Amino acid sequence: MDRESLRPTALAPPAPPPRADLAGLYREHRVGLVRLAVLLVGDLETAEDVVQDVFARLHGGRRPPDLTLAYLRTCVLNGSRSVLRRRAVMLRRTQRVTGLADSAETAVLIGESRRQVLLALARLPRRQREALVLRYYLDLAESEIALVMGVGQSTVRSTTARALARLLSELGEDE
Amino acid sequence: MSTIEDRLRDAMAARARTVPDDGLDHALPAPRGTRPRGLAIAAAALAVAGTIAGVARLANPSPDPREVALSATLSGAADSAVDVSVFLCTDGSPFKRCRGGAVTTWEKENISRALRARRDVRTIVFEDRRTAFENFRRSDADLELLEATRVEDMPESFRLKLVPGADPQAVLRAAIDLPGVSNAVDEGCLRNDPNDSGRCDVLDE
Repeated sequence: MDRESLRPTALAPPAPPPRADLAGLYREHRVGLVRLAVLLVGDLETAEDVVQDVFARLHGGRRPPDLTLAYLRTCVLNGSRSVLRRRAVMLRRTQRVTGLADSAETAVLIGESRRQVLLALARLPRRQREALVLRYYLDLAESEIALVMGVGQSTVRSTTARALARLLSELGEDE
Repeated sequence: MSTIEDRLRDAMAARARTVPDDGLDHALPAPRGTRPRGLAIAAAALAVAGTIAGVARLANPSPDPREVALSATLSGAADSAVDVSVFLCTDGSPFKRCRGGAVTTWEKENISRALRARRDVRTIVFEDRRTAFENFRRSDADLELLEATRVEDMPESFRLKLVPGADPQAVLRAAIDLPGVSNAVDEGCLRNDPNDSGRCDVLDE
């Protein structure tokens, strides 16, 4: 079931959404989007930056007449990608490896076994990580993941399968 | 026992739960690429200057010297929708009311609840540090001040819209008594008379 694509965008007049709309979306989805971003970029501060940036841009610039949660998630994915790209350049210089558990406090909170999973997730190629986060954290359907990532459904399927296989080989079947 | 999928679900959910939900209505970040016009007023200046002077006259090359009030923030002035700003204690707040240190989560909830319960308050939006800093950064504030200011210097605040005809002073007096509040500003008063900001807040009893 793909609710996003079933929206009657052709029927609705393309009236510019009032500012209150964006404020409402921010109110409703900020925490959820920060949580999504934290799984993609690994630390809370960067995740908050990514989400703030997305909304600051939408607030100032053009935005689609029908602003959906799927669209916001795509923006968060894109924002996270640019952050990771910038960070990769830095890492090449400093040779530091960061996982998805940014602080000692977080590590204690989530436990060692989960930390291993998140570290393995962080080591995956970007698309594979995105597919897994959308599938197993947000529980999105294949069609929704395809929409958010901007790829075909078959790509989603194969990317997810490859990602799972790679995690499995890194982590083993069991604890 | 558990499959890799279950472990993934469990680990990601646990990581996501470490991101706190403070339950407050956060203010929308200011538009990217635009500069809010009008008076540049910065609460951060308090932390930087370490003084609670009402108004500082900053030298400015332009013909009319710019007044920068030190006890309110830019976004309130730029957004005419805000009637009252309620600033919260930071760790190094110079305010007497902030001797207990930075505002706690519990205090924030309490302040939000108390203000929301008032009939003269129409809406309440929470402005976090990052948003406050962004707004400040894009203000016309003094360059030296900008360079000396970090996100941590910015105070969090609640931005209130009152019902028409309500008395802002009553709201200020009620807000200032709540634990965790450093000061409160009547933004309408500040907009009307930016040169006399001393009358527009309740810094001192």
